[in-house]
Order: sequence, then C-alpha cells, then structure tokens
Amino acid sequence: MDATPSPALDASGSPPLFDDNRSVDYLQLALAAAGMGTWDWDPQTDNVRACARARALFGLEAGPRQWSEILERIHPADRAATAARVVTALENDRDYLDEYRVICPDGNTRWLSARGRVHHDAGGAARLHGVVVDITERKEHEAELERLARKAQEHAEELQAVLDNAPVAIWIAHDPECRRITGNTYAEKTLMHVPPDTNVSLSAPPEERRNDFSIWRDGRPLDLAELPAQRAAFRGEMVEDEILEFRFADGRRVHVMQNAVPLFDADNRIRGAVTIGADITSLRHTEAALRESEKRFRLMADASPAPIWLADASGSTTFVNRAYREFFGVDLSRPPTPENWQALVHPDDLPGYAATVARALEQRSTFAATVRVRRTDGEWRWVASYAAPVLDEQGQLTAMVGMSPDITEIKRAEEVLKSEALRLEELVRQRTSRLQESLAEMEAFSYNISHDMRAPLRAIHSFARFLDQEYGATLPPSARDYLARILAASARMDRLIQDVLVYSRSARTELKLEPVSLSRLMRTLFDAYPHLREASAEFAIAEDLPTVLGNDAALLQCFANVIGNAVKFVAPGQVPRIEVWAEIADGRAMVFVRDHGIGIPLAAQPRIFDMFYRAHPAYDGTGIGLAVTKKSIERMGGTIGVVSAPGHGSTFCFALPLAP
Amino acid sequence: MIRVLYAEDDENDAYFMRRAFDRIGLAYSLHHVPDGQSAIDYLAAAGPYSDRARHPLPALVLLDVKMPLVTGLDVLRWLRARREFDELPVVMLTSSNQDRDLQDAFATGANGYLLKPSNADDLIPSLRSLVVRCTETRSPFAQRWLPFIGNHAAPAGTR
Repeated sequence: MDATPSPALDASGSPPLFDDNRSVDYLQLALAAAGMGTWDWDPQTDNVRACARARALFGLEAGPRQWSEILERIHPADRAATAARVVTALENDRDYLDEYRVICPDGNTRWLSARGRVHHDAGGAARLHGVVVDITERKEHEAELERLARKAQEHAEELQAVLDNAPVAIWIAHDPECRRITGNTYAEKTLMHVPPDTNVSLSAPPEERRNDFSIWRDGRPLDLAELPAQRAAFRGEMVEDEILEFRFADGRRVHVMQNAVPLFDADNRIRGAVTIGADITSLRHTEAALRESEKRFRLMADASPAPIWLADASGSTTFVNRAYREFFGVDLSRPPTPENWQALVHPDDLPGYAATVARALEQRSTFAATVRVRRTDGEWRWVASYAAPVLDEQGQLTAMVGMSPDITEIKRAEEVLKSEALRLEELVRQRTSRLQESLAEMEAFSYNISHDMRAPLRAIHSFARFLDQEYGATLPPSARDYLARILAASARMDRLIQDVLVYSRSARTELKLEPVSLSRLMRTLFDAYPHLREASAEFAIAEDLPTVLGNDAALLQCFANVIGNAVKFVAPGQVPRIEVWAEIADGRAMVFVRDHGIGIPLAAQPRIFDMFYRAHPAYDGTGIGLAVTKKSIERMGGTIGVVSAPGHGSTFCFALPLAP
Repeated sequence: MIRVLYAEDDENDAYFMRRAFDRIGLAYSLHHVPDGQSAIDYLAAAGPYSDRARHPLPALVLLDVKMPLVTGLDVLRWLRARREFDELPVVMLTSSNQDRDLQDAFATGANGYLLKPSNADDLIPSLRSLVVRCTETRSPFAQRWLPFIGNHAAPAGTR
C-alpha cells in the first residue's frame, strides 16, 4: 500500500476505539482480512488515489489514476448508474453505496461492492473516499439461490396445474390429525360440489366439520379411523384400491376408488397424507347393466324350449341353456372341446354336419342343418341346427351362437303329410279317371239313347200314325182312341228323350261367353221357335233390352223355355199375355218375363227348377225345361228366380252379367 | 229316273224311306243295303254288285250315321278318298241332332244332313228337295250342293 490510508471509521461514526498507531494497525489488518481496497477521489482534479488491493480489483497500473479511467473498467450496463450514484452522493453530501461489475484487462468480470463518504479538504472542497471489496462469490451464490427458488416455483406451479386439471380427486391432509383436508379442483367441483379451499375433513374440529356427506363401504358408514386419509396419516398405511361410496345430502351417491399415502417431514415424521380417488360410478353402473344383461340372457336362454348353445372360435361349446342340458343330459363340467357335441351327433350325419360347422367357422357365416342327435334317453331325434357367428369390431370370429329345436315330430308329420298328399293325389287321379270314364259313358249313353231308343219309338209312332191315317175310318171308336193314346205316349216319350239330351248337353258342353244383345235375341226367338208365335199370344217386349255377357244359343233356349211356359200355362181359352223388360242393378242386367197365367202353387215354387218336377201335371211337359234353364243361366254366371201369385201369373227374373 | 243308294240297318227306317220316296211322286230307284260294307261293295262294284248294268252308280247316296261295324261316316270317308265320287252327293241320316255327328259329317265331306223325324211322313218334303237337286244338272255341282240340313236338324247353337 503506497498511499496514506484514510483513517478507519467506526460505522456508528463514534470516535475510534484507539487513537494511537495500533488503531491504524488494526484497521490495516481488518482491510487485509476482508480483501478490501481503499480509495480517495478528488473531483476537482479527477485524481483517484487507490491502494494496491483496490487497483488490483480494478486491474489498474500503479501510480495516480483518473476517475474516468476507473469508469471505463465498469461494466457498460452498470456504468451510468454508478456515475450517477457518485454524483448524487457528492451533491447531497451523503454516503455512497454501490454494487457493480468491472471487466478486467484479462477479460474476467467480477462483482465489486463500493462504499464511500464525502469529506471536505482544507480548502472546503468536497472529496469522496471509500472502500471496495470483491463480492463475486456472494453474487454467484445469490444467483444460484435465485435459480433454485425459480425452479421450486416452477415445480410448485406444475404440481398445481396437475392438481387443478387431473380428472381424479386428490385430497391433501395438511396435518397428521387430518384436521384440515382440502381437495383439488376435481374433488371440489366435480365430485363434492364444494367451494374452493373447503376443509372437507371428517376429522375437522366440530365447528368446521361438514355434515352434508358421509362415506360408506359395503352398505355401512365408515368410522373415522377407517377412512383412507386417516389410515395413512394416523398409522402410516398405504391404502390401495379401496372402494367407497360417498353419500351426499342432495341424494347423490358416488362410488370412488381411493388410494392414500402418508406424507413425511424432514425428520421423517408423518405430517399429513395424500388421497387419490377415481369416480367409478359409471363403471359400476356398466358392470351392473352387464350383470343384468347377462342375467336376462340366461333367463331367456333357459326359458327357451329349444336347446341353445354358444361355442368359441375353435368350435368348443362354452355355454348351453337348460333345454340343452335336459335334452342331451350333459352339462359343461367336462372341458369344452368339439368332441363334446360331436359325441351327440348320429355317426352317419356327423361328417356332413362337422364339415358344415367347420365351414361356418372358417367363413364366419351362418349355417342351417338338419341332423340326428342322441337325446338323453338314447333316442335319435331330428333337430334343425341353426347358428350364427359372433364377430368382434375387427370382424374376427369370437363365438358361434346356435339353436337346435327338436323337429322330429314336424318331420314325422311332414312325412305323413307327404304320403297323405301322394295318396290324395292318387285318389284324385283315380276319381278323375273314373269321372272321365263316367262322362264318356254318359256321352255314349246319351248318344245311344238318341239313336237306338228313338228308332223303335219312331217306328211305334209312325206305324200308329199310318194305321190311323189309312184305316182310321174303318176302326171302331175305341180302337181309334187306343191309337190316339199310342201316338200321344210315343210323342211324349220322344220329347222326354230329347229333353234329357238337351239337359245333359247343357250341363256338359263348354259355354263360350260373348256379348249378346237381348233385343236381337228376342227377335230371333220367334224364328227359331215358331210355335211361340202360333200360340196367338200377346207380347209386350221392351225395346231397350241390354247387351249381356252370355252364350247366344243357351240364352235363346232359356228364354224360349220360360216364354214357352208363359204361353202354355194359361187357363183354357185365355189369351196369354207376356211382358219382357229389363233393369240394371248392381252392374247386372235384371231381365223380367211376366205372364198373367195360372201361376205356380206356393208349395211348388221352391221345386220348379228341379229336374222332372212338374207343378201342373195336367199340362203337357217333361219337367226338364226349367231345370235346363237354371243350369244354363248359372253356368253363364247368372241366377234365375221366380215370384208367382197362384191364379194371377208368374214373373221370372234373370240376373245376368252385363257385357263389358 | 234317278238311282238312290240307301244304307240303313234299321228295317223300320228303311221301310219309312221307301214309303216316303213312293209318295214324292217322282221317278226314282231306291237300292237299300243293310250295312256300311254293302254300301262300299255296291259303289266299288264288288262281290254281288259287280254287274254295273244291274247295279248302276247312284245319283244320290243316303247313309245312316250309326250302323254296326262300318258306319255311315266310314262309308263317307271311303267315298271322299276317291276322286271319281267327287260329284256324288251324299246325305247323312241320323236320329240325333248331336252337334258332333253333324260337324263330323260335314267335315268328312257330306253334302247334306237329315234328321229322322218321329213322324215318318215328315221325310217327304226333304226328300223331294233332295231329288230335285239331283235332277237339276244345269248348275254346277258345288252350287247345287251347298250344305243341306233338313228337318230342323241343326244342333243347338246354329238355329
């Protein structure tokens, strides 16, 4: 130290403890121990006197230095502030205190702390003198501390973010007695519906303790000591996967799975606990629904009268319903293998059936097969085996589900039905053939009647007539009467034969239906049946008769029969009066033929359309005409009816389909 | 005088036919054969009918439809298979007015169809008309022998 050191001053400004040279000695020892340099600055000259330690701190050469020289050493970022503080101290005559960085010629930066005081020289001018010390190490410590504090802060913030956002409830017991427990956002907002920072401890002092919820396990409320946080905090337990039920005053019930661990302080004493809880209510509901669904499936399966089974992807049976167990007399006590069910299938049917099952498993398709299986009583029964694949979301086969109703009775009934149907078919075939034979015989019969039976009749009639014509005059009246009777009888016989033929033809021949104008038909009627005109009857035939759908010839015959009757059945001497008219009703033509003749006795009315029935035996006739008429009309899709007042006449009504 | 060949198995009907011809008042010569085969033999001049002088070809053939063995339709079929008889009029006689017989007759080539009446003398007008057709040879055969249906023999449906 080449400069005269400034007298060391006590911080309180009181006079020095020693005023002899020992005082200076002490001061120099203290300065050396602290590594502190001294300096003195004269703002008038800008000269700075610095001791060797101070010069070393600034990296300055020996000899008098300038303040500006020192300022240059100061870190540019600190320079202006340092200069300002020095000026402020001088102007206000105040102590000067500063910390700044200096950049040494070797390039190192070090932190310096400077302390100074204003004093006045003999001339009264203000000067500044002080000490300076290297505080680089302290500064580094401070920076490290700051870094650590920042890191701790970040850590705390991260933890808070986790707490705030975790989708699980996290509670912290802040003391070993669990007098205060608070939850994270999820616990407070989502689970417990309490305001932030609420003490939710059930071990809280009575005045703080909440009574709007309780915690249950297996249907019983838990003692305080059994609660997870309390177990961890009181006894240091690690609580794992404890399922508890929170019951809230508002009726909510939440199932929570909890884990808890104790928290320790630096001395390894328990200072609290952390509890984590996950809401598993919906999981439990899902489980319950699954159990319910499973129960329903089993109920349904067991209620089914048909055997139902499930098999895994290898074709092994994994489930059978009650009907299956009872039908086959088996259960699943044996390990499920394909052989289990294969043993039940008839040996003749097994290869085909097994192939069907294997194909369905491989192709993940449904199958249906009819197969014989051995029932528990040993009887072979037919079952219809239906099955469908169960696929997972990737389309992989996970199971087959199948049903095998016993169709033995159905099959038997089918066979009976089939043989019965065959028998019926044969019967129908036989009967048809017999009918055809009968029809052919009938044809032959009527053909023969007309040829063979009429020939002798013709002979009888003709010879009787010749006898009457050629010898009548010479015969006695009784003989002529006999002849007359022979003639009448044979004529009647001939008509009968002819009418029977007409009837059989009307029942047999195909009637082709076509539009028939009834007005035109009435005009041709008298040409075809001249005897109707010869009867000197009075006809009133409406001119607007409709056109119907029917067979011209058959209709002509029908009207000839009915009008012929109208002409015939009148009292002796009475002139027949006949009216014909038509109406349209319900899309049908209603054609009326009214006479004013003798009418039909009430008792006879229901039978007048019967074959060979004659209401008036006194009148000539065969009792066939109306039967033929009815048959023909019905074959043309029409109907015929009659209303008659005996003694006043009859009205026949034909209902016929109108021509389209 | 026209020659008429008549095949009829019923004696009474043959009698009635002869009686009716007797009453037409026209010259005729009726040859009655009792079955179909005899009619064919006559027309073919076979067996007992080989002498054409005694058994000349007829100007008119009357055939009963229903005869045992060879029926009237068989004879007609035999006839129509031979060109030399193309212009020989054949009239079928029948007791029935069954549609089938009538249709068969015309389909096989009959020129007329006569229903045997229950009163034998009712044959007379029809026969007279037939004989007249045979004698009036000025107009062509086809024109004279338009289908002839006598005695209301038309079946139901054609009247």
